Amino acid sequence: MKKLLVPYLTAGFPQREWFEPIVRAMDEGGADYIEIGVPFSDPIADGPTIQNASQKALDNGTTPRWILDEIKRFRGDLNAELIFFSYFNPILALDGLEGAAKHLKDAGFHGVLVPDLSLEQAEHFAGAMAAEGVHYIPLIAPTTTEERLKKIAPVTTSFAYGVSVTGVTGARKGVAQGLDEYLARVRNLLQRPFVVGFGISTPEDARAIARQADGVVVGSALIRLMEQAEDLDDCVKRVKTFISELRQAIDE
Amino acid sequence: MTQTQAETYQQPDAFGHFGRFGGQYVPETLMPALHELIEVYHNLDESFWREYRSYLKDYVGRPTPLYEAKRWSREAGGARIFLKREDLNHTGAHKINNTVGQILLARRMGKTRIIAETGAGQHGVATATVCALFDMPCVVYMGAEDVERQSLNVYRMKLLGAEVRPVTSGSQTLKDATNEAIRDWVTNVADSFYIIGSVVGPHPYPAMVRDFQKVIGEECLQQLDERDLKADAVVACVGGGSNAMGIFYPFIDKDTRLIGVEAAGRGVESDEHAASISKGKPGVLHGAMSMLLQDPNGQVALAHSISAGLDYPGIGPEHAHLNDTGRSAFVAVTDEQALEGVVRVSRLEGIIPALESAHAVAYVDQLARTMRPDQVILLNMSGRGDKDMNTYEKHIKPGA
Ligand SMILES: Cc1ncc(COP(=O)(O)O)c(C=O)c1O
Repeated sequence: MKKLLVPYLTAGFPQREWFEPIVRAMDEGGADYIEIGVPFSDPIADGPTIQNASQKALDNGTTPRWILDEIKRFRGDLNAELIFFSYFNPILALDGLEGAAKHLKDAGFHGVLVPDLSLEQAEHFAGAMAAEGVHYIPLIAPTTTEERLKKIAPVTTSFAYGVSVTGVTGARKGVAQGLDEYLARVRNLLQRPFVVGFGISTPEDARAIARQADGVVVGSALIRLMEQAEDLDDCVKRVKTFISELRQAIDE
Repeated sequence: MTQTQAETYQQPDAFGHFGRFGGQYVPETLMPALHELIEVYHNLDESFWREYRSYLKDYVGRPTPLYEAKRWSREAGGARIFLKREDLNHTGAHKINNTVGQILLARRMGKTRIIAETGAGQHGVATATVCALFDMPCVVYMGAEDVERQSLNVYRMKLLGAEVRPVTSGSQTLKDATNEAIRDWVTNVADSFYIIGSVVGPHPYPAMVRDFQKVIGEECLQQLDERDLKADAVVACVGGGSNAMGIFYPFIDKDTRLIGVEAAGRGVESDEHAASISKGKPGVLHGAMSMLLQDPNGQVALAHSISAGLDYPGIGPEHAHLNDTGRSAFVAVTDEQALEGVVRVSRLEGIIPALESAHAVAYVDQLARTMRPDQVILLNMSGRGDKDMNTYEKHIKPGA
């Protein structure tokens, strides 16, 4: 099976006008799914890079409704599927869970990923989303027991997201210890594909992970590229090049 | 509340829900640790509680007195006001009841490192204290703004051997300190125990912290009983809500009004307050569904209170539930009224309250007038004012 490449961006960072061009660059670079990060004031699962991007995006006036409108406007001709990535509270504020599910569907989202929504709390949420054809993407961590994996497997309708480390998001050097055993455990118990993210920052990391998983998620490393970009053109070029390099690395 | 309602009060459910509030909204990484905590907590044996009670007695100095504030009652001209003197606890507030319980639990679970968040610094000091007592490394997260306004407590924590990490993200207060503590916990969950300072956070914390604080209300029941009295109203300030929950809980099945006092800051009609029940909407912050100050997009709003311990946009889920059912009521008191409360009990009773507790004082001063002299108000004096001397010096003119 083709490996999945899943880049992340914080919508509205570094500027709201850059949102569509960056998403397009990711799409053209060869992304399979794009995680649209919807900024929240209190991102407890994020490290400094995405915290900072989220704060900037909020300062720029980015709101969930603006993001939905934008996606609805330009989603049409993208190849990649889109994943709505946010914390529980901003989603709840989109007219409740049923309302949010309708909004996500209308905008054309494939799935939704919520780092502070535990499996225990997800039943109503996943049901509301499924009723509108939006996939709930569960998270798996290195601390997830076999018993929990067996509960996560049946609610995984598209793919699952395996967190590579016990920790928050952020680019790290190299790949975490003990990963092989953890990923093998996930592979054994999950029928659906799973992608792995948190801390993947280079094509080398991506290549190594892709050998043991169905795909990779890259977030903070991309946000850093955007921080370093001189202007929009430069940003688009850097993002597209990096995505292509990741694509190549995982396809090898 | 009718007798049947009282008998059926059993909260939370197995998933940590208090009615529509509570629950566990945390990253998957933490879920196995929370299940382990629930398991251990629910199976604590009598030896644990014996150890807990013995530290409360010999180390914390419990039971704390129930003191009748006679001059103040007379001045107010209404009900009899009784103060539950949590300010006389070791370290100066109710917070230590909870940290003693949690550190004993951490030890039983074999954890070797302690994390805590703090606002006013009282919970940080209470955590640093028990970490010194049990020789555990301790990291306390504190908003950079609070580090400044509660500098004395920062020094106390350091003197006790804790590491204080100032948090510069967001509003640089308790909310952000809690975010940072949770991030540390997610990263170091294998060996670290997070001692949460109030009845907030994911299940089982709200219930567990309540259980470690309910000694306050249990003692009150006994102390009132010894005087052949019954409380008509119990009043406590509410930040996250631990001192309030601790004194309310044993009264839930009694015929007693329960009143929580939130911080109105510069007024609940201004944008600068911390009145989550009066002005919030249901939402999720720090692991639980509760009432939350937020904007229409679900972004958490900045709270404001002159008191660092009440400067929090959320509230414990059990309070939100008790408010939902009408079992408790919430009022709000401004910065200015709280400062007047400080002067009032200082001058009338020789007791200088913490700024947090002064919010309850200000409300009781009004409430007492509306009640009869044969009625009893129980006020939780959650802490003493030593930590707030800088603020008092700035805002209260001597001789005023
Ligand atoms: C003396 C005192 N009272 C009350 C509070 C508020 O916390 P809670 O609502 O959990 O009792 C604090 C918090 O720092 C405090 O120091």
